[in-house]
Amino acid sequence: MPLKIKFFGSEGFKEINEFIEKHEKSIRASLKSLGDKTAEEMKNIIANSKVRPQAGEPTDLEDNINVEHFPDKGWGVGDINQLNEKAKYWRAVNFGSKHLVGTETHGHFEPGDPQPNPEEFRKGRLKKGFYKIRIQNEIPAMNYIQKTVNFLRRQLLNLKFGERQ
Amino acid sequence: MSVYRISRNIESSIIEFIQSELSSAGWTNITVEKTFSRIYGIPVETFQKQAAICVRLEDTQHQQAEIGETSTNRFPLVLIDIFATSDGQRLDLKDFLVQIFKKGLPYFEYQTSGNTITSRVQNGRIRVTKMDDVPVSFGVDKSSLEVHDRYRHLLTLETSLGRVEG
Repeated sequence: MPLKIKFFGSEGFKEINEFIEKHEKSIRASLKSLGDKTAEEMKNIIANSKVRPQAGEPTDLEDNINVEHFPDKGWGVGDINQLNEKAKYWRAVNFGSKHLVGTETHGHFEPGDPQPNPEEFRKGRLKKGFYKIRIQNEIPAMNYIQKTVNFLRRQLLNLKFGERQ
Repeated sequence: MSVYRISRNIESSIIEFIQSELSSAGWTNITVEKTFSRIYGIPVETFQKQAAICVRLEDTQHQQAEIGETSTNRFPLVLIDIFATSDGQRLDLKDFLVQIFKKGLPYFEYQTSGNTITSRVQNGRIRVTKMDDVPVSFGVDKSSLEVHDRYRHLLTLETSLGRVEG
């Protein structure tokens, strides 16, 4: 993602260079901390978008979204290889998918009524069990990646340095 | 009689704009919806002849217009999913949409009665301030995917009405 710096005033190149040199440390620190904030934001978006009871449930997707800092190059959030290995469903959750619709499995719901029951929609989570269950609804698109990129862009626009903050 | 609020106005304006532009350009086999479930509800046989576009208004950021003021600027994030029936159609359709969004589009305020839109009045334009388009890849062979998910593309639009809300 490109970083554009806007200067307000009548500075020439010499003054702009001096400004960047003077503020380099704080600019780098702000951008670095933005990496951590972005990873946190992505985790929050995922956690807040979940619609079924989560108490005591594993959080593999959030747990495997980390920020990686590269000296002098910047940072990245979410290692695709790691996600492919430990939270394989990350793409389906982000983009939404119909791939499970129509498939049958054996399970039960908890908490609440263990049998599939439309009146208890989203009140329980599917666990391995003995009821034959046919999946009818698609995975809704969470778009946590697009929402996080949007968050990051707004944060970058709001970064200000120097006297005219 | 009731009126849509800003978010629904934006969503409906975008849907209407896409439908109108598709029609003007001679696309006859595209349906525009605002939920995934309606698109996934299109039977496979019908879907194979008819692509679909899903328009969703997602997060909206409200930023203070000026320090010390309570007025805000609104920046809605609009996600447009293309469900095509071939790779060629996916690429053509996404380029078509990118092209029509470049100039922005009319913003309408809608009045409804029951589930029917009874009137609309244009009140400004929706500006597209940033656009990304990415193919939707599930990281598996396409033939193993459900037919609706095989040729998908996602457009992300950052939009603005270009005015301050009091």
